[in-house]
Amino acid sequence: MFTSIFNQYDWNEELRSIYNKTDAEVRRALARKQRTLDDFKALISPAAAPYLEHMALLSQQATQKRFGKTIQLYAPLYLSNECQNICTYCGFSLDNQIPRKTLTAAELLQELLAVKAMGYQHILLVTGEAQQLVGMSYFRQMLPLVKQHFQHIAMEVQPLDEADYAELRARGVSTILVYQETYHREDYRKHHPKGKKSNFDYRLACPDRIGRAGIHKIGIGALLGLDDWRTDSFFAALHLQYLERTYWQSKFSVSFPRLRPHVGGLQPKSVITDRELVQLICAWRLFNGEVELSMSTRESPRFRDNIIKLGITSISAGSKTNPGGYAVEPQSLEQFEIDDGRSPAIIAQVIREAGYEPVWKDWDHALHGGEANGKFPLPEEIG
Amino acid sequence: MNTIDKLHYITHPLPDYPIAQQVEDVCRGGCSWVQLRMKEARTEERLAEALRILPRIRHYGATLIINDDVYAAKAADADGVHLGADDMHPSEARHLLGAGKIIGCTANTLDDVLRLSQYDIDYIGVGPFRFTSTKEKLSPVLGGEGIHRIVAAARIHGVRIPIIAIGGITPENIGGLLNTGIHGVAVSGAIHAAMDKVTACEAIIAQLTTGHPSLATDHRPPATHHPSPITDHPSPVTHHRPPITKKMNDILKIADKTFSSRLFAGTGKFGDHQLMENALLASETELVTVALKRVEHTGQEEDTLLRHLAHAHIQLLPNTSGVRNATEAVFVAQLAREALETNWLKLEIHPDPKYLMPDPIETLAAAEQLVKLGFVVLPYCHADPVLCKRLEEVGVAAVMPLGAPIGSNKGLAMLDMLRIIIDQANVPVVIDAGIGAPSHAAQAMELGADAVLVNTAMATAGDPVQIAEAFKWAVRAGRQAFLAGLPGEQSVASATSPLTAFLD
Repeated sequence: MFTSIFNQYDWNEELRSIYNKTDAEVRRALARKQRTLDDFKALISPAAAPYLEHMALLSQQATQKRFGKTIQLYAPLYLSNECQNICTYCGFSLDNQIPRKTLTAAELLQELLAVKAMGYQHILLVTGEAQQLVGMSYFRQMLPLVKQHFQHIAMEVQPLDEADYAELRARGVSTILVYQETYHREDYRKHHPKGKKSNFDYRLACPDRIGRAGIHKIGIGALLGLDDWRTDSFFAALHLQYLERTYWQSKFSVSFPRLRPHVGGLQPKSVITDRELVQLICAWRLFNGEVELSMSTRESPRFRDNIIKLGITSISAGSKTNPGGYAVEPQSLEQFEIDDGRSPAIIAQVIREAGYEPVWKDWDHALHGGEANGKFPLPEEIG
Repeated sequence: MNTIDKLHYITHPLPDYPIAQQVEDVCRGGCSWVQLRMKEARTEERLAEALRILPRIRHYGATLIINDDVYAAKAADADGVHLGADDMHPSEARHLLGAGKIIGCTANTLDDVLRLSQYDIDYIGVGPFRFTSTKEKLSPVLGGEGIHRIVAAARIHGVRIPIIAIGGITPENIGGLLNTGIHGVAVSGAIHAAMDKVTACEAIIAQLTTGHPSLATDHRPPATHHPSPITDHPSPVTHHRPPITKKMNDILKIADKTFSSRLFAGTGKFGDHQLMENALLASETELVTVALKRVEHTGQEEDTLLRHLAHAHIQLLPNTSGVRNATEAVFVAQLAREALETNWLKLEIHPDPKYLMPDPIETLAAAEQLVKLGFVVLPYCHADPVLCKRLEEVGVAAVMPLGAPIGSNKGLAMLDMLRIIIDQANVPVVIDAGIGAPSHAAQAMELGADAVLVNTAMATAGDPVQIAEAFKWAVRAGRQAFLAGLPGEQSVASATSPLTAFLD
């Protein structure tokens, strides 16, 4: 379990060690073929700032070597904005007085068709945490519908138990994303004062449960801005290294959500600049040549157009971050503000103009083998 | 002048705890000063014991002081002597040993201290602090207060020689000594009578360095050193030995055992047991694999091979060489456990007698069964990253992928695969087979391997003892380079148009 490794580390010690990295350590990290966690610390440190162009070039080469000139496209689909948690930075937080909505099967179908019409075959299902309303029984109901229309299903939902993940896998879910938000135990408590999410350790152990359940791809990350982004990123890298070695049959992805302004308004504690975000993305790629790096529509068009050449391997486009946002109720309140509102078609064009191929389909339900119809008795598909 | 350590360990003859093991344990616990005390022994016996433990003392960068016997100290080329009141006069000892050696003397009173301070000696042991069970001749107990009085008065009289408190000191009563102005303490029973010797040692060192009781489990070196008011004078003591803390922290742990040497060795092909023993000692290896098929178990006479391997610092790793499938391996493993009284096992299954290639399928099956039977399993296997993960999943304690075909001396022919194995492993990776030269061993360690196992290259070299020592240095060099962080290869890269210009 990652917890036992995590507990051996001290936040402040790591923070100091990152900020004490020297020019020589950065140079050495850049020169190496295989980089260690310590090299990663050097590359995300302030000392690496002067080497950004060099890092970008190395990151581009490493990414192309592994992924070729391709960028995957996915769209998030919000199933519900119901949530029993208080998260100080989130628009869906329990204490925010907003209209709550959970998609019915009919509404979900409308949304699915709208997303599909944009060209997507990969979809990311998103919820808050409302175990009664939007728990396993809801997922059981909805997944067959999603499966009919999408070849790759990812979920970003409340942390679940291992058996639930195994069942989701059997029902066609390939990817689970769960972000730690921050690896700073005390600050985590501050930002998650209420709800099931306030249990730091349960969340920290979540990727372990996903891994044990044999989910194909696991996404992790920290919410950049809640605490010192460099130290949080170090812990995420530590987490990834552990997960890769333990769940060696799984793939991994890392995301870089930056805190955006929203209703209820927490302002970021440490602001990560565009320049630093590029540094961070390149550092991740130099640390790990195989991990998928993902970028959402939180970022500006100019930033996204350029970052696709520097290490990112999958991006979303035309996203709506409110349940029903694509077709049912386009005007409802979003979880966070979208910066890049361009359509998937335009983004695909941008990708092609950069010399890359937009990839809409890179998975198939056939790859789940017999298990999707074998291990778990599925209730009748809903009409 | 010589640096005097803060913790001195005094050996004690015990029937079931050999001196060599005592040395091994305290050195692992971070103590780097051993006083060999064999009161009733003859000079030859002391000399023999000193010669037996010196390689390990040197390995740990520790200091060896011989109690009571200048001749043994000189003959063994130990670091010095400790003289009791009835032993040789310090001036005579200095004359015999020369300026470079350490001389310490025992004092029971202030007068003793003042008298001894006139001679060219390096430290004074003052005591007894409490009643002690390990010393037969007893002087009145001084207690913390008595020691404090002697130290303070000595300082007033201008005595600068470090004073070591001695006699009945334990982790529990050491607190009463910390502010008496002593330089350090000498202990015996506090460590050899402890359940966990290494931890007891660490606990005392922590107290001595921080000046307050500390949790024994805290292995981190103390951040600051608090000088006591009396010892804080400009010290005439100079440091001539590098600190060994770095090396102490780099201990290899496999299952429940720790190793300070990352060179494992085999016992085959030497042609001569004595030569083998000499080479193994020169290599400073602590884990030696023995094929069960070569062990005599008549019950009549002690096996000659095993007799040459009977050293406190050497652990035996029986192997299943000769078996051809999992069933045979499990059977032989159980015999080995009985014959060599260890549940450690190097699992090797090579059905093909020509190239001795390990059978991945049988090895995985046997590993799974043996783990369930309570063995600490170290499987010899192909440099196959997936196989290594599968072995890890069934619970092996380490994986031992081959560097090249066994006995080929070809080095790391499987370099790319070994790199992946090391990168992915959650258990120690020991590179086994194919290592034909010290440079290969160094390369494996630089790569990040946790240890290497060498046999053929050592056994069949022109001079096995010399090559064994060369392997010792190579493994250390490679390990140190890995820990230091190797520089990468510089390549100049430039883009036609800057990739990050959009940020300006």
